Amino acid sequence: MQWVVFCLTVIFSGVVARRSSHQGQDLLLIRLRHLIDTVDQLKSYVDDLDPELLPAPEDVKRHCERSAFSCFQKVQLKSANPGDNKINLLTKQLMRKLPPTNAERKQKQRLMCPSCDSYEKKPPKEFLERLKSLIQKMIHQHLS
Amino acid sequence: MLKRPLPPRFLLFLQLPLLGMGLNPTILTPTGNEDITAEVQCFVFNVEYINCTWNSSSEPQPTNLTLHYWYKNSGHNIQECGHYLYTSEITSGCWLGKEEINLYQAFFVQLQDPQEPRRKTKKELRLQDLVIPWAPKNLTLHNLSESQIELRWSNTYLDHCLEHLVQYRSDRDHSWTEQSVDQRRSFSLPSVDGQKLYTFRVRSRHNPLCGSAQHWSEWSHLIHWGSHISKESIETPSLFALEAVLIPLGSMGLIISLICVYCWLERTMPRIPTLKSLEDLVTEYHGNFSAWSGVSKGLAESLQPDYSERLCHVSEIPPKGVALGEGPGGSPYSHHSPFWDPPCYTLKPEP
Repeated sequence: MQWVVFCLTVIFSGVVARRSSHQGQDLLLIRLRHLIDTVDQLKSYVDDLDPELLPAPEDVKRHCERSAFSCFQKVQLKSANPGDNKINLLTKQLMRKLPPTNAERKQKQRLMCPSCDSYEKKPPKEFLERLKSLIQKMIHQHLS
Repeated sequence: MLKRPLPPRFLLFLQLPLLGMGLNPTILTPTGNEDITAEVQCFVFNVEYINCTWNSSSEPQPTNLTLHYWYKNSGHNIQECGHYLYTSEITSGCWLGKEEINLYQAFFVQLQDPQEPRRKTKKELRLQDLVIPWAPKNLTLHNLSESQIELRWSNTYLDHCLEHLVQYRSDRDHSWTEQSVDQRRSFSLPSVDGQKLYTFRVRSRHNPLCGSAQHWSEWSHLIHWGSHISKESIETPSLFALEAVLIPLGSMGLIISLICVYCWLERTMPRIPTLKSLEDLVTEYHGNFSAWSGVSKGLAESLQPDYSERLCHVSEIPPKGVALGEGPGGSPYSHHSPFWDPPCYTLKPEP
C-alpha cells in the first residue's frame, strides 16, 4: 500500500510539473505578443512622449536578449504631458517581468552581457522600433 | 618706349587649352557630392535569399551601379555583391544567398557609381520586416460534420511566425469573402450548402510576431469543394424557373381539386344522422324525416316512385253451388264464366 501511494505521488508530480512547464512557455509567448501590441500603441503616441534620448539596445548578441530587454524596462518612458494616464498605463505594462523559460532555469552560469550604459542612446521613436525588433527576435527564438 | 605687344601666335596657344576644356564635359560639369537618384529595394524571399533591385533609368545616364552591403555589428565588414542582376546589360539588382541573411541585425546596402565614387546612397534595412514567404501549399479540405468543413495548409518557412488570409466564395457569389487567421494553419467554415461549389485560396505574411512585413506572399493554388450540379442549375435558369412555378401551381391545383370532390360528395352522399340529433327530429323538425336527415328535397322527390301499377286481386274460382259472398276489396262474387276479368285498380303515387 505504501509503494502504491508513493508511485501515484511520483506520477502525479510528473504530470503537474510537465503541465506547468507547458503553461510557462505559452505564458511567455502570450506576454511577448501582448508586449508587441503595447509597443505599437506607444508608437501611436510617440509625438506625446518626452524627446529625451534613451539607451536603445540593438544587434543584441545571442543569449543576452533578456538582459537587453531589462535595459529597455529600466528606462522610464515619460509623457511630455505629466497628466497623461494612457501613456503611463502603457509604460507600466512594459515593466512587467517576463516569465522564465526552461532554458533559463537550466542555465547555471550567467553570461557576460553588455551593460545598459554601453548601448547607443536614441530618441523615443527609434527606441520603440528597436524594442519591437528585440521582442520579435525573442519570439522567433522561442518558436524555433 | 612702349613694350612690344604679345604676338597673336602666343594668344592662340593660350586659347587651345581653353578650347579643349570646353570639349570635355566631364571637367565642365560640377563634381559635387551628388547622391544617386536610383532607390534600392530589398526583399527576403522565404529566408532563402535576398533580392535587392534598383531602377537605373532615373539616372542621368545609364550606369552600372555597384552594390555593397554589411551588417552593423560585423565590424563594418563591407562586401560587394557577388551576383548581379542585369536589365538591358545594365546592373539592376543583386542576389544574396542564405548565408548572408541575419534577420535581426541592422543591414546596410549602398549603391555607388563606380565612375564617380562620391556619388553613392546608403540605406539601413530591417530584414525581418522584408520577409516574403512562399505561397501556402498542400491545401486540403476535411468534413468536420455534415455542414462544417475545415481548410488546412502548410508553409515551408517557420509557420508560427506567419499570419494568413483566407478567401473563399461559392459559385453563386460575385466576390470573395476573406477571413484573417493567426498562426493556426486551419480555417473552418461552420455552415456550407452542399448544393454549392466553394473555392478557397490562402496567402501568408511575416507579421506581427517575428517581423512587421507589409507584403503578402503569392496566393496559393485554388481548392474546390461541393457539388457540381449547382453549376448546371445556373446554366439553365429557365428550368429552375419552370420548377419554381410548376410545383406551387400543381400543389394548389391538387388542393382545390380535393376541396371540390369533398363538396360534391357532401352534396350527393347524405350524412349519417347521429343519435344525439334524434331528439331534434321530434322537437325541431316535427317528424319531418327528410328535413331532419338533411336529404335535399330534390333527392327525396327522386326517391318517390313515379310509375303507376295496376294491382289485380286474383283468387280461385269457387265450385258450383257454393254461396257467393263478398271478397276482399268489396267486390261481390258473381256467377262467372271460366273466362272473366278479375277486378283491378291502379295504385297512384301519393301527392
